[in-house]
Amino acid sequence: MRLWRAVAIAVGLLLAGGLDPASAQTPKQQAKQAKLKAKQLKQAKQAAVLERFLQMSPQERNQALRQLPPAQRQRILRRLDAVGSLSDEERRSLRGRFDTFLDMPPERQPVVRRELQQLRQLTPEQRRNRLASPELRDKFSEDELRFLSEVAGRQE
Amino acid sequence: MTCLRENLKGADLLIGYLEGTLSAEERAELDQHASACADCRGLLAAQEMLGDDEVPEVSADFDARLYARLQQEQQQQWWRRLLWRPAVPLAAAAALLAVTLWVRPVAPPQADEPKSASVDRAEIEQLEQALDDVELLMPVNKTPEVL
Repeated sequence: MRLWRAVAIAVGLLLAGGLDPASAQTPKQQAKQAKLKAKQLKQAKQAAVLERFLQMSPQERNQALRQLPPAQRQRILRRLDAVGSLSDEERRSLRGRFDTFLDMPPERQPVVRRELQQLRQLTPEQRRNRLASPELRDKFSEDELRFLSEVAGRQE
Repeated sequence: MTCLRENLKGADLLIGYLEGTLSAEERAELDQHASACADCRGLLAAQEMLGDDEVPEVSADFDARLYARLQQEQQQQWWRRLLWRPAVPLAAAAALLAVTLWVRPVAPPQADEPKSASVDRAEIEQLEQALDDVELLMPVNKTPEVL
């Protein structure tokens, strides 16, 4: 009886898989979907690793990075300390922006990342002008511009 | 009479002839055949020559000692016979490995072992990539370059 129930469940799952909207996609769309999921998974892992390191004590971080060359270890420790030195509110805010960034479509993330890097090189006035420029309005969506303005504004 | 080699009772006739247990009639019949058959004549002559050899006397406990020796040899050599079989050394090696793995003490997790001990190269890369993005989102005056 139990065997028949298992068989029925398996058949049901197979049928459900066959009716899945994903199965109606072309191979190219399926590949794109798989790539997107892989990217999201990778970023989720990155966020999880960062969170884990931020929760470590300095001794634990040292221990975790002990196999690295001293220069690289020191650089990572310094960067972690910088994030760790933020106040609780700043960290919450940073986490929110980080999540927003990770929620962006993977193909848009490099574009936004490059723009943020450029904005960081500018003076506050140049940043304001840049954010108000027609070039950026053509290049980014409203949500992306809002995100850029929020992040760049905090960099002043 | 047929030849001793072809007769179904040839061996019995030959033994009886040599031991003198054949009846007079059987013995006369065999003698008559052997006089005309060179093969049987040669066979009888050869057996009679062997019978002339002196047989040493055996001790009274010869049989007992013989069987005891045979048993001892069998007991000593059973493992040698086993070792010649190719599957046995392989099975022994597998059994030894299994026992080693089973017996090997599993180190209990150390309470004070840091949770960071298992970080590998891939995680380091993931950490650095996450830091790259996070720093882009941080206030300029809080980034490591400034600190």
